[in-house]
Amino acid sequence: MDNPKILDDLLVECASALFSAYNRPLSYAGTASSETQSFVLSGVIGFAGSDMRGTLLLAMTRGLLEDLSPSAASMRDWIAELSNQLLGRFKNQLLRFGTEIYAATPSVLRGELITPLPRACALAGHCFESAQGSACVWLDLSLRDGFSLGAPVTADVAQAEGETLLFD
Amino acid sequence: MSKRVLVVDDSGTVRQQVSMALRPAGYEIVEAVDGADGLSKLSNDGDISMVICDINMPRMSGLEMVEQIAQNKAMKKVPVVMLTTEGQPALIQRAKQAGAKGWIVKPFKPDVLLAAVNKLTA
Repeated sequence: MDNPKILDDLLVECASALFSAYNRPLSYAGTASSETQSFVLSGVIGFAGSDMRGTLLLAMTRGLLEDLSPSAASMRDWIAELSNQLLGRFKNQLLRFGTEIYAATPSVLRGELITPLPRACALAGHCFESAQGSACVWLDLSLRDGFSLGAPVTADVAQAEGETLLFD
Repeated sequence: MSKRVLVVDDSGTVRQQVSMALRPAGYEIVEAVDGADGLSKLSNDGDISMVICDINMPRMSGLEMVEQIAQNKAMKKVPVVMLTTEGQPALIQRAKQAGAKGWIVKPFKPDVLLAAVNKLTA
């Protein structure tokens, strides 16, 4: 399997798992098209490592964002945290392939009709939906020349999300 | 008297989520927005029973905060659990060596967090 396909699958898997963790499993709605969607807020977070660097963008409609929110949270803070948690999952999954990335601090954009214009090697955006609204995630990245993801190890190399590890 | 838990995270939403998980069980929550703020509040409040701390924060990271707590005779007896999106074994090991008592990867399950807090504050 080639790098883009692996990374594409990882991104979809991570987004699905994140939404499910908040007890809101969303249906996968296919790759993002140029059709406009009324997103209200987007979390944007950069990352870098020795093998790859890029940006993750998570956009959501207001209804879905409020539905996913566990409390009367600030929507700005919440989309930033969700994008941070999504990149965290992606980062932890990449460890299985022997590559490590470091995340920057998320920024938040407000606006509708958001369509990233990624570089040529970027992956397609992926959309998810529920009765409350929709979300799309894009990954814009560049790989080190000659880099190829290693075979994934089957053992857990990172602590799983939601689990507690007590040291004593 | 209720036990006081210091929650250190630059996300107000996460602080609120932790508060919603612990307050119903009788814990009082003290909030801090980064490691420096957390260290200051822990230093000035002699009645904190436990610290729940993010890693990636502005001004001072959670790992730096834990390392500074470990060097302070008065503060180092307070158990610290890291609550973060990070899951790398090297970071977990560094936190453990610095004196942290546990590690939880976000998003957390409220009952699991409460169980950990009950155990570490018993």
